[in-house]
Amino acid sequence: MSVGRRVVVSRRPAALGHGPASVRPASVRSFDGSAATDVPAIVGLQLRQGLRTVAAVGGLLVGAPVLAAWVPDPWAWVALSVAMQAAWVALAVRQLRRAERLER
Amino acid sequence: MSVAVLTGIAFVGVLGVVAGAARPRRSVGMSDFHVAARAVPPWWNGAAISSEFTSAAACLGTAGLIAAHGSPMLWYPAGAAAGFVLVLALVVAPLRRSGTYTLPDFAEWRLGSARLRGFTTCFVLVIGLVLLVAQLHAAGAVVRLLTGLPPWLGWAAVAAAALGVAFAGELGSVTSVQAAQFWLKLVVFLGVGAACWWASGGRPPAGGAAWFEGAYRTGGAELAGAGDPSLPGVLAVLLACALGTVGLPHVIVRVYTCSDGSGARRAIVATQVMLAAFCVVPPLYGVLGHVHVRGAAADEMMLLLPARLLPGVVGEALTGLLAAGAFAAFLATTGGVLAAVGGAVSACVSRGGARGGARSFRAAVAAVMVAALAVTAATTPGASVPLMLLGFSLSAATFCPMLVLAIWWPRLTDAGVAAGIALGGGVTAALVVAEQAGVWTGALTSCPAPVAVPAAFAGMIMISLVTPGRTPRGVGSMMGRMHLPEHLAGPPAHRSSHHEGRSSHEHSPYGDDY
Repeated sequence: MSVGRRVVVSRRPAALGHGPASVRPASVRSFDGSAATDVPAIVGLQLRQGLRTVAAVGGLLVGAPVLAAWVPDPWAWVALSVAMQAAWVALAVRQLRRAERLER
Repeated sequence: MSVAVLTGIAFVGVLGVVAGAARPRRSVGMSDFHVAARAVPPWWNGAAISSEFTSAAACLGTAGLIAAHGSPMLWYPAGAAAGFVLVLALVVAPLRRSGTYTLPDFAEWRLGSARLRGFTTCFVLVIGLVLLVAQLHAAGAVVRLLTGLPPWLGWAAVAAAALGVAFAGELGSVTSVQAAQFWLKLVVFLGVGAACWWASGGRPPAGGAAWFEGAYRTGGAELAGAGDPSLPGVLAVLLACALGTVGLPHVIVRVYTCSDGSGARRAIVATQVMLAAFCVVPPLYGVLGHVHVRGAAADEMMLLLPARLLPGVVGEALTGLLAAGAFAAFLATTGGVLAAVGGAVSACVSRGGARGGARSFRAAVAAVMVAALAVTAATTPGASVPLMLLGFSLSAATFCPMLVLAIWWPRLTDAGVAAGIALGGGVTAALVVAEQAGVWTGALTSCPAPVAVPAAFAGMIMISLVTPGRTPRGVGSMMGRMHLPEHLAGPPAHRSSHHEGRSSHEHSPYGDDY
């Protein structure tokens, strides 16, 4: 029974197609020579990843000042503004990893 | 006090020029001049980008704004740092892989129009001048405040040291100067800030609650929305800061000094880490300054703080250190902007050979500096943050849409870019002039970015859709070159490596200028 399930799981790469794993066929094909046909696919994947990061930045950038309006403590504001810097670093590292995985 | 201050300023100036000239290798032509920068590792490059970005005008000014206008100003440094996440997500690797150097280079390469190069060069010049004038005014204010000497001595010191670095060295040595200046700034500002914190009793200042009263009240804004503590005003400034970072000419130039697309990404991540460390500085000084230096001008508050808290020799020495750190910051930003604008202008103006290119670069740098000095002398000194913010707003409304659309949208045309830039720049200029003339008031009109940026994007997209015939030939291969990683994109000779880095210009009439 459990073996049967594992077989299903082994087919997962198709389902993961929305994520980084799907780049593989695209890049392999481009490596085989027909680079021009694959460029739009790679551009689309990178763009989607980039826009996800941009959306996260936008959400934080608007969210933090609006949220802070309800927190009546000046030190919470200071802490929040410093925490935002940590969030930018985390987002940058995440974007770097994702973008490089898409290119592998 | 003036002895300590002058010693600090002189030390930084001499250090900058010596470090810039330390590599005696003379460049033969401009290709060597710029390619020499290639060996810069990401961390070093990140320090140089952070150094350019954390200008003294912005740092002193933001601390002063936090002290004067209260807690809403805390978001300004966060918004500026957020811009680099956008750079990383949307711009940096494709831009590096395109192999172009300045923004006008990129515009000409991607859209195939020499006229567009001239047009974008004008905007690079305007943005560069705004940023330079902000630095020079702030330097003059620092000199006048701390030594009592006339402000033009401060302008002259910054201009002479920046020109010295630009003339003496290559882009590689400019990078090392800027990186060294970043570490100097970070240590000085954090160290003096910690000393002041300790001197103030080592605990949160007593006026915390009063300080918070500044939160989101409606208030008057200065130029480009700086210092507006209402929530819409703050959000508008954050938009301008984040998007403006994407198109800043001197940040874009830095991307070229990375070895490849992945190195460029790493440099931006390094920048992000260092900015996060540096962004403790404005809140630290702002909170202390609000309690201990009430009523000082925005740019002066930070420099007055040590002497207020620690009277005597220690205070004077700390003030001298702060002045040295501030001048390191003036020099870093001035040098970076000067190199970027000078490179763009010289490439646009001259068509000479390699030697002529190097000569025209130096002539352009000198001309830009003279123009900046003239504008500085002709205008009255105001707070520096509004001027910086005006530069950011202009960049957000012109080059940010151009870069983002050119990298991700194949149907962009040169006519679309020209229309979008003219629209974005025009709306920004019109709103700023109207606001200065007192025609409108209100958050959205006082900070032009929320109006001008969508207008620029819309203009570019609509005019591009109307003029499909002007799409440059070979868009597909350009998109491939920008987006395919180096290891998939064919033999190294085809891509930018050590000597082929400027291959995009081999076919351009301006190729020899580098």
